[in-house]
Amino acid sequence: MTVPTAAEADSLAERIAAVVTAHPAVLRLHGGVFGDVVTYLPGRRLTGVRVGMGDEPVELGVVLVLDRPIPEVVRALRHEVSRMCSGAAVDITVADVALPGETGPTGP
Amino acid sequence: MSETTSAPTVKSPTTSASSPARLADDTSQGRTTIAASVVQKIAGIAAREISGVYSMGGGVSRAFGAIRERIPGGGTGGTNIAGVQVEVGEKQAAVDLDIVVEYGASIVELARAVRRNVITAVERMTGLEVIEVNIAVNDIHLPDADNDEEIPTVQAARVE
Repeated sequence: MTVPTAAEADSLAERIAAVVTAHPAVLRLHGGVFGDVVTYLPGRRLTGVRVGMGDEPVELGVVLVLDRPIPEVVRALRHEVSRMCSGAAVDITVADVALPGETGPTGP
Repeated sequence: MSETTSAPTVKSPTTSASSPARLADDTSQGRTTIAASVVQKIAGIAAREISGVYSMGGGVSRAFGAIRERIPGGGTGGTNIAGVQVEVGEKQAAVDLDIVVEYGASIVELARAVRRNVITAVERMTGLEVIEVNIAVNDIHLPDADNDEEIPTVQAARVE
């Protein structure tokens, strides 16, 4: 069960974002296919993580590097994030991939 | 008791890397969605890996791709997905490819190799089962088709 208070959920989302982007195959976070995977924080938006209320799943949107099978990465991320949220379901959207050499369309 | 030390190493590979049903069995812990552009990129890269595939896409998408590459900031992201259409479901994917072959390649053999490589790559990288790969050979590339500069001089000589 993940029933965090509002303040707790914000910091939880940031902690999840830190853990997810620390994975070597995660290039960056992504707002999902419809851009709705977003956490609204005071003064800014955290794109790519949404912590649901109550029984809602935690949502993640990621862009991965194509250097290993996607299911392997997804399983590792789900395991990590689910553990942080005391076993909540984790919906993961792989919105895009990049080749190991390229850094993706978010250039300078 | 010392014999049991080898037992854990034997039982470690429980699931094979290519079982496509693996994405479905974690539904109680959450869904995994793989965007169509992901499958598109992987299929495009896998198809281009086969030697004998000159380029991909129909005439229009190839023309747009050539223009986009020359625009600063247009990016090269579109070059991998030209000529690749996909449909992606929860567990399965279907791929349609438009390819231009090099002259001298056996098209039947080439199509078979492309299909095999695309299926292997998509199933391995995404865990989705590929139900079909339709290949349309749009054009054939002749070795001397690149020498565009020489054609006007020949024609000018003919007019004189």
